[in-house]
Amino acid sequence: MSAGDGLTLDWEPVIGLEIHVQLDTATKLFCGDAVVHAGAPNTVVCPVCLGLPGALPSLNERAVELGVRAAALLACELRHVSRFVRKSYFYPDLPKGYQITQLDAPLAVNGSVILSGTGDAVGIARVHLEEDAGKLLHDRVPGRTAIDLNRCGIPLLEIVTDPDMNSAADAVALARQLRQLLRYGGISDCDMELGSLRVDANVSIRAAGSNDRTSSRTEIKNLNSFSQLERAIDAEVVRQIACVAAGTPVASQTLSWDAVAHTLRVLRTKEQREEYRYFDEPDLPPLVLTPELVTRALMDLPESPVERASRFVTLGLPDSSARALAATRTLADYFEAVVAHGATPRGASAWVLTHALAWCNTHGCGISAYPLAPSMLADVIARAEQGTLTRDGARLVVHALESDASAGTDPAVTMEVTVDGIIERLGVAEHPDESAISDHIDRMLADEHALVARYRAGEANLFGYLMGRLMKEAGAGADPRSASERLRERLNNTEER
Amino acid sequence: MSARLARLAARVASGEITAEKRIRGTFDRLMTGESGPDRVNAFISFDYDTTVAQAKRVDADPSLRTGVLAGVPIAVKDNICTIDSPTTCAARIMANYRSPYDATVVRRLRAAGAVIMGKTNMDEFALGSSTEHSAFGATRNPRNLEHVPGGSSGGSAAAVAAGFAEASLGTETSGSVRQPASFCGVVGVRPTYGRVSRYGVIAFASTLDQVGPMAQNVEDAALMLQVIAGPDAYDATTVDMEVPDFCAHIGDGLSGLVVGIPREYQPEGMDPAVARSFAEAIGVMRARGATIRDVSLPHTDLALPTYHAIASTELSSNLARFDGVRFGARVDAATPSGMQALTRGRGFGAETKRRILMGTYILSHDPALLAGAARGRALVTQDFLDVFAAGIDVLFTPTTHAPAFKLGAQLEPYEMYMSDVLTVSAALAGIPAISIPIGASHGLPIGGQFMAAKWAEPLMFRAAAGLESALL
Amino acid sequence: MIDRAMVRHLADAARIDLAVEEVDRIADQLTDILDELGVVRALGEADGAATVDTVRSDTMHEVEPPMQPLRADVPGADALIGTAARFAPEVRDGFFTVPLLPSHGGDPA
Repeated sequence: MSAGDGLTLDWEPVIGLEIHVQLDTATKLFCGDAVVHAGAPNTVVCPVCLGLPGALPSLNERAVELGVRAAALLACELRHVSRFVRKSYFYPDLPKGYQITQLDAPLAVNGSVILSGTGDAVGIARVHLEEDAGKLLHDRVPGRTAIDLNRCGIPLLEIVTDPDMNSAADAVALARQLRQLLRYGGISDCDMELGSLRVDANVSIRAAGSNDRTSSRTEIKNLNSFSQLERAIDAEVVRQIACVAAGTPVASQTLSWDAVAHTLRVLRTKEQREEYRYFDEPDLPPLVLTPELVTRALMDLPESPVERASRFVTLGLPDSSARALAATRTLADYFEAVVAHGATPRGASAWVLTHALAWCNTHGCGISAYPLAPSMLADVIARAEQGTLTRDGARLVVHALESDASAGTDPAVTMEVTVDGIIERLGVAEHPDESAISDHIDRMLADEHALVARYRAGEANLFGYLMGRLMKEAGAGADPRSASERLRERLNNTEER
Repeated sequence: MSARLARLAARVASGEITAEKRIRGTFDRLMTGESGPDRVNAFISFDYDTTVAQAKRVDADPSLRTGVLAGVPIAVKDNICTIDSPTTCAARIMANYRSPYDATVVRRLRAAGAVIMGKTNMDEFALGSSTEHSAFGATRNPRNLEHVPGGSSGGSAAAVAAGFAEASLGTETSGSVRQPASFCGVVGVRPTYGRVSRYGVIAFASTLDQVGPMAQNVEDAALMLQVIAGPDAYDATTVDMEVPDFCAHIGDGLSGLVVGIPREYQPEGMDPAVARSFAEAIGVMRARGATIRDVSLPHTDLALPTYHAIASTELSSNLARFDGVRFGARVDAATPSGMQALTRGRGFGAETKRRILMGTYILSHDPALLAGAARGRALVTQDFLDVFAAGIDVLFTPTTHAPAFKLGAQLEPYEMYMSDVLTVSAALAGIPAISIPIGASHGLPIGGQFMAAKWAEPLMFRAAAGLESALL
Repeated sequence: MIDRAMVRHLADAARIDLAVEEVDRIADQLTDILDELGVVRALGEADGAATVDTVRSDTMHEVEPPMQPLRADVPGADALIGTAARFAPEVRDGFFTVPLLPSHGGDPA
């Protein structure tokens, strides 16, 4: 942190990200072992992922489909023919002595993501498939490094951005946005703590405003949270500026972020490409994307969060609410289901963003665990909007439904009964428009006096028609249930005859 | 002579003899032949109890007892994984390795009722053509114990020639089935690349390796291939197409076949006895109604250097997994990398190390060589496409330029070169080829080779069986 | 020309411990063999400036590229017969084990 402010003004960072996500498949990339994140060591392994003599890879179709989905969400061009290569190096967590990955012919190239904060585009250079390595543990067996290969062969998608970002904040924003997109597409759960999302940052500096791309860059690995990503980039930018200020060129290195000490450590001098001895994987013929595969992959591809948020705006929601609802696919799905069950978009938005999310936060879970079925919440919202429940009353009803659900009953099964029952139990039913409805009934009874007389003379089937007339008179705000009760009372009132 | 295997299997199926009795008989012969100072040393491992246990399973299971190879004793090269015996590749680094899974070809043999007699000797990691470069000692040619059986599938060829098994599996990269078949006087087949699964076959050069059967006659070899051929979900390089009946046209004879004789396959330095047998075979084919045509495969000279570049490159990558971490032998050290380096340094033989280093060099420092190899392979392949498109049914050549050489002979580089030169092109092009006995010189067999277009094994077997019966 | 330094570099990359006399012998042998492959290298050079960055090492699929078959994403890996102890040089508590990595307190010697 020795660089002066004057100096930092003269330089700007150039940042690109390499993001690895574990694909949400049932099995590994090249064998039928299940993808699991826990379990006794070396119990989810087979000849293929152990790299035993004679074993051969066979490519998981779903992994290819998820790669195609991701490519579509990132606006990439798909490569009709892509290839796998072997990247060779020796390490105890790499069974075959090489990783099967893609190099010159990746699955997709040339995409972009628009940063929602700034509106700037960040280029996506490439998207490719590769296999994960195993895990090394250094404290499990005294004096030995222990190897667990359960993770070995789990499908990874590597997304490489162009060096289009000029601040750590932008890099974090991009990473967050990618995480949102990938979760949306059902491509990965992107859990940084579990390691299903890993971010490496490539950092260099250049004279502010220039287009210089000649300076050496460093790669920072082991960034396990967005805050580490931000801190590490900031620290590295300061370090590089200090280097240049001191007249020592920045060395091309791989660095590691020490999250405890908040410092960067040099892992190694960056490998030259020939040291990996890249080599076309002879056990896998070229991967040809058939139209059928691409269609299948994109079949249920959801709108992107940005698209979905703009659609929510057209429903009459403010921008901020639209974005908040579109933040995750499950939340947006829930909101839309509530609207589909008859709630107004504004009403649904307000209830979902406040009550439902508050409950989820308290219980530390996602909206999919929220106990109220969308139809139930829609029912309560409708009652509140019609005035048969006050806002406070509706809140009480929702709380009661939530705790009933938490107590283990299943209100969804007997929704009407439960909502009605809870209203009754709480005694929160409102009859706000008694007098207004009475006025409408008075007017309708007068207008339709002939039919009223026939009804009272015994033509009970006229009730439906009279009810329709009343509702037309009263308008959409009237609660049909109470209106119908009041009308029946008046029609049956012998004193009026 | 023909269809021995089918007859043997039929006798077991009919109950005329039990698989166990049949296997005990063969095992006695094996034990005798593999004992004492005159032993052939065809096997790296064999075990009476394991073998008899397999035979008993065949006898007890009606579906195995009626299999097309019911109770047929088969020898398997020791680079093909088997769960009930060691799999060593004839290498120190794998000396005590026991595979936890069966290779696909082994599963298919077992499902057809075959009994595996043992694992045969080979050059370490299939690098060699004499079966002298084995951590378990050299194999000797049963036809003359002072000579080599050829290699690298020398043990598999010797086992069949000596009667230790009725048929065997070898593996080919550049000719490692056909050349020892030729030296030992048996039939050896290289199938079309992609016809037979490589799953469970310890890789040497992935784009060249194929498993090939060896047997006492063409029909038996065809039946063996019938059993092991076909797509495999565990091997993405197997091709998903129906397997034809390899025996359907095997008796159709030579009449009407157009046989090409490539002029590049008659190099100077060919043993006169080989040249004589080859010429006689051509005469026999012509007499039986085949049309003989002189053809050219102009890029034949490129085949061997192209092969060397490709094979070393793929080998260096395929052998990276032998690092002492998860399987096989280990020489421990203070660090993982030190352990890996010592394990590999002590566990690999000289030839293996030299070829790994050559492949490592090519991948990191010689990109033009690799690019040239891709080009060379394409040119050699195109030669074959051209002749087959021009109406040639099969090509006929000697399998090797000379009969089996003596054990311990330090071959001149030129001779070493010659031992692969006639078989390597078919491997590069991925086309099928077969070697059959066509003569002998001083008791040492001489082999002739038919090559056919990709997937044209039926035509290849017909030509080979036609010549075989004509020469009887 | 492959010199001894190159052989040592290659042996390091390929993780093979070599005795001094092996280094000498292999240097000579590789030099000879690579010379013999000159005709192939010339083909590659004629095809254009091949570099480690551009070379296509897929020698197989130049003539007729087949399509890669894909595996349905359904669990069902090939089973291992027996435990890892059957084939592994060192297993403890279910882990494969190796000397401690120097970066985690192992002896860097």
